[in-house]
Amino acid sequence: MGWHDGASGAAGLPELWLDTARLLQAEALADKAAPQASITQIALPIAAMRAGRRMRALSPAHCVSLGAYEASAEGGARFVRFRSLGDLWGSPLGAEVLDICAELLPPPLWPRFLGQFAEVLELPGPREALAG
Amino acid sequence: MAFLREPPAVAVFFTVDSIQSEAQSVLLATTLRARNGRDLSLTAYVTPDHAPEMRRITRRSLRHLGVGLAEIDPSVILPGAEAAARPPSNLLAACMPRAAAVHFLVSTDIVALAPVSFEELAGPGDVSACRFGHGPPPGGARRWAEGYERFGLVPPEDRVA
Repeated sequence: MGWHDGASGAAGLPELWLDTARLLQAEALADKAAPQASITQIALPIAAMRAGRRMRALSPAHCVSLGAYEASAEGGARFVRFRSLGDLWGSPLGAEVLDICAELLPPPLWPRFLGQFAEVLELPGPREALAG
Repeated sequence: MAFLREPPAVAVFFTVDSIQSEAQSVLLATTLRARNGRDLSLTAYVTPDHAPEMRRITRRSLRHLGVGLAEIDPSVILPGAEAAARPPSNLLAACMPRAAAVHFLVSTDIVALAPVSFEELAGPGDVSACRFGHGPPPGGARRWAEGYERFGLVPPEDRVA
């Protein structure tokens, strides 16, 4: 496994990201057949090396899959990644997320949001009930 | 001066480039705000392709949550870049100037579970990434080596276990 196996969250300086973007652009122009997704994983470490910075990994335990979270009740996790919103609503965490949204987004925001994004959100039940 | 706000220590940002990421961005921002309080700096970068389609309710919801909204302008970031050769929108968003010591790019297919001490995860100048669920690029190690060699660098020995 390398640094290049993907990033779901990353920290760095805008200047470094800009160098990364330029590298990607140079790569893409030089080899248009290469899918950008494949070289994204390479460009950030290269840009870091060019800037004399060492890359380090953020602990994968900070961001776990929904399945892993439910299976082990990950105590140290800070984020959960879901494969689809439908999966999220099928879990207790999904119900908690809906409660939080209803609390922080007072009417008419949250009910209207639910109404406009019902299909995208893949909500399972009547959205009026979910809106609280 | 007293009336100027100190720049935030940490800037957390994400990209909105589709109707799907638009919906997810509200869930992400709401949970981030619920877990971390009002002081965390949050910015949503909207791609120029999606900006005209972004729904008013999304903008209102994000603003209510104290999320800054900004449009990415690829022509400013990478002048002259052909659209086909432009890097992904997440990367362009990361290039945008922000007044913070630590910058955190987060995907919109996640929700926050607990408070995060971003300063402890990565210090100023650190370059860090959290690998998750992606396989190696096509061509594997050979592709990595080619990438480094193109820029006159030797691939590092460091690996994530």
